[in-house]
Amino acid sequence: MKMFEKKRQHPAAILTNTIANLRATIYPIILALIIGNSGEGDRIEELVLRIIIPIGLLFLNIVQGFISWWRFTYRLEDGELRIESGLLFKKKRFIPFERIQSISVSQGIIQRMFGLVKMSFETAGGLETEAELAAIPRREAKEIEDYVKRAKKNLLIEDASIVIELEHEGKPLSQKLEKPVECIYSMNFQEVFLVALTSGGAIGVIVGILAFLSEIGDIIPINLFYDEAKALLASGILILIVTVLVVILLAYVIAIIRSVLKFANFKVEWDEENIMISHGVLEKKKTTVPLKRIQGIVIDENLIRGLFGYATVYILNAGGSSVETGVDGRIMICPFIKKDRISTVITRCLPDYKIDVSYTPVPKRAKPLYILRSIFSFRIAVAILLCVYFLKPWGLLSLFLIPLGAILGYIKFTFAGWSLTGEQLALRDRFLTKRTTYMLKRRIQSLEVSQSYFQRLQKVSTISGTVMSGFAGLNGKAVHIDEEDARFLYRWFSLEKDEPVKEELTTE
Amino acid sequence: MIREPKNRISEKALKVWKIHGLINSVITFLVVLGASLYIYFSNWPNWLIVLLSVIWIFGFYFFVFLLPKLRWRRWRFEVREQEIEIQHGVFVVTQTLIPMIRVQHVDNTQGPILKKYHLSTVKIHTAATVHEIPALLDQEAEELRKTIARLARVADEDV
Repeated sequence: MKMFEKKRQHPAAILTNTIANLRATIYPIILALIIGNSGEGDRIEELVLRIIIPIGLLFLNIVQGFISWWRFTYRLEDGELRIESGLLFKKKRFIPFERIQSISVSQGIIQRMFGLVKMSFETAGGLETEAELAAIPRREAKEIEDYVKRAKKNLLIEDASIVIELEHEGKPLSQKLEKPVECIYSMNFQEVFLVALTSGGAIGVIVGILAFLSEIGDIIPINLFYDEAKALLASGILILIVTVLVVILLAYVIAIIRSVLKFANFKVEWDEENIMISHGVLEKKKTTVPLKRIQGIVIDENLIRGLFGYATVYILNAGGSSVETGVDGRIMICPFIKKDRISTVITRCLPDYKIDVSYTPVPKRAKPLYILRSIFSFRIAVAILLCVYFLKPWGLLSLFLIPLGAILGYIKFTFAGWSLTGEQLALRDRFLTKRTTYMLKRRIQSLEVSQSYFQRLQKVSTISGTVMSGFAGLNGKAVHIDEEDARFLYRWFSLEKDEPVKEELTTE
Repeated sequence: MIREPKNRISEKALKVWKIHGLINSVITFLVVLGASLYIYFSNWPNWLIVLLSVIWIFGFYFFVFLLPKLRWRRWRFEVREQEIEIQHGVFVVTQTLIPMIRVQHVDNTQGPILKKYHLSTVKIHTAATVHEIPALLDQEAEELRKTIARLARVADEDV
């Protein structure tokens, strides 16, 4: 097969390389144009600055783009993806298939023009071992993906532990090679729009507007406004205010449009071994996550979405560092989903997890801890505002932070809890966003029970489990749960049951 | 809380922590000294100097004498066939369980002060977390590292 020969990418890669380089040289070019335009220098200086430098830099970019395309070869050989590149500094990057953790295929504007795709290969070994094919035909990308997957599977069969797993599932291997792809989640336009409206960025803009409006009172003395409204209009303050508001609103609209473009066509597919997430209009993205790599599930309900009974679902991926996964390895699989639908989606693709479980709440005696802790967390804001009080009377508003803290503490208290279902531990904790973390016993890297002095007084503990996610870990926790419950969970996680179980756990 | 792990760390840890406390105290002493001189020469009320000194003396006692003792008393660990258990913390007592199959590798590290007392710190790495057992006798640390490495290999599993 021709996949094994050294090959160059599609010549469109010259264009993508050039554009990538252009990002570094665009500023010197603009600078040269601006200085050249100032009209202070003589004609020759102007000629150099306005024509020779920009065109020269542009030309160098193109040459560089061409050379890197020309020197870049890739092939599949001896169970490795082998990439060679570089003119003076030659670089060889050989990535064994078994090290490839996920393959993602995306399509930017240039790739679309030529019917090509960009392919990225992610490994667990940190950023250094990443590889990317910037422009290759779609058909070839598919061939490579299939080939790598097949090769990985063959490697896995040699691995004894995996064979046991496959036999355990009781399915013949041949059936696994060709598997149907099933769509398990997609969003309609209305949902895409709602995601955009309620995203964190949009909320930030709204807060910004409110903050700005509250400042206006300081900018314009109110009594002055009545007396000399006309003068004010003339002085342009009002125009300034309107302009700022329009700019903020515009930023909001742009944030929404960007978000809509990003989440449009959002689709999650499943084929028994991988979850494939694709989305986007201008830039289509597709991420493939092997089920084996999934370390846990996180469900977030932010303030606004939570009010309407919607949530966001993430899967935790071990390794990988694509744009899709943040630093902490979370990959969004349902950006916007009705809470009661989550269970159906997850059961379909990750049957090991149970979403609809009942939670053991934290004991009532933990309530004061929640409330006091929450008020305490506002101490700095209160202190600062009280200092302001000596300058301006509205510093006294800080006192409102105390009941606010108490309310926040109370809602934290009502949400917190834990749930143990077979091999699955689910922990709930919230700040403003309600977060539930689902972890399987065999995926938990370490489990921690801690107790502060005040917790000891109230006989409660904090439990926290860490699963691998991205390159580091992700922590799921429940705060101030009954210390007996914590002890019970700790024992559940312990692999050595040598100690006799002294007391039975009583659930109230 | 939960049953305590068996092993304690070396008693020499007390000395090491005391030295750390002393170093920190010297640094804070210099800061307090500087602040006091500033207060004195800019004619701020003198009781501020007294206050700072009292705070420093309490801090000195706490970080050099009390804290190392409390820390040492709490510090415990146990390496069993299938898991490692660690307990530490003075105000917040934390107990951690690390299954052997999750252990990726084990390091021994040693700073200049630890070296003087022939102590080493054992660091246990999983795919997502790092756990430390500080101040073990060199020989003990070496044995522990080998034991964990051996047990972890036996219990090898995917991620």
